[in-house]
Amino acid sequence: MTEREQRRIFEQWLGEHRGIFFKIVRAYAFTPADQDDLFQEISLQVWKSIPDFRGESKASTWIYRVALYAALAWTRREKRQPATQPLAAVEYTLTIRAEPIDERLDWLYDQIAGLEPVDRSLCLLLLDGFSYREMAEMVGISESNVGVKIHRIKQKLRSEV
Amino acid sequence: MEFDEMKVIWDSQSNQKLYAINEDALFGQIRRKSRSVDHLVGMVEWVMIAINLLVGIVLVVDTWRGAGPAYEYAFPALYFVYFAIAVYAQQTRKRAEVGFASTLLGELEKALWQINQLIRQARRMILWYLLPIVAVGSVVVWLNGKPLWSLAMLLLLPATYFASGWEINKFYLPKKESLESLRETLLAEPNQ
Repeated sequence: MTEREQRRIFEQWLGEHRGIFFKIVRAYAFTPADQDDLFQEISLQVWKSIPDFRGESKASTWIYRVALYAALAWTRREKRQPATQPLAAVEYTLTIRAEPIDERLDWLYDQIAGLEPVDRSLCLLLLDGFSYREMAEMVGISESNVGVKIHRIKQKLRSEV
Repeated sequence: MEFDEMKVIWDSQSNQKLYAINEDALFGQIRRKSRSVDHLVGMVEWVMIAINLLVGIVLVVDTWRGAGPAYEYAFPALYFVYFAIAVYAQQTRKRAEVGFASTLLGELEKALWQINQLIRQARRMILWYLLPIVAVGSVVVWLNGKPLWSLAMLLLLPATYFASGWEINKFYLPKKESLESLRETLLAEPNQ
């Protein structure tokens, strides 16, 4: 695959599915610098995954899986080794728009942020309407395990309210 | 609040444009990062292939020009053997990587497999790579009438052994433990 073709697909995915990128960035990173760093990491991993995409699943499912793994790996790495790049050297790729913020959504993201990183992935998938079977296929665990985890996540979210 | 109500809030964000993307900067970063060698396994393999091939060629040319005794060809021959092994190991690794499932767990298991490969590689390096090279090299140097250089080569072994252990403990084992812990979390069946 040529870089030009790869870029065309990436631009198409970014245009159609940018919501997935943003949701994961917002659920896993909490400062503008971290959000930018995670967005770059997710973009890089999605970009690198394009030659492996065979169209056997929907592009959105593929992007979700790659992006969630990138976010989990990023979270694990950040815990051990926070970024040390000086702020002046950073060229931001992501900027928060000055639009009115939906406070309920902010609250919901706060609840999601309180979950363990792996549970956050399942919570995002559930909120985006994926079935237990789809989640099991995407994560690689049994459907019953997904069910048990989701039950616990729902309980935790309910108890936080 | 019930989950269905949360879902309604969640779905409301579809019309929100929270972030603006600087696409030029993004592509610049992607290009920069994808060019940098970020796969440690791949990098180590290519370094091994290149070093063994180059050293083998240099030594063959050097030995041939010097018109020394035939035993001196043992040293470059060893490097060509390692070059062949390194190419074979790379191909085997690439074939093995295809077998991992396209899931989060599959990605995790692939990362774990890669880190285990690195640890094994670092440990085998001493026994199967450095030891024969140092042994053959020091004998060749000794036979050429340079016993001090021969001894100096032998002293490299313990130093490399400790450096390799440090590399494993400092870089690979923490990463492996962290990946294992993530896999355990993913596979754990919580009590209801």
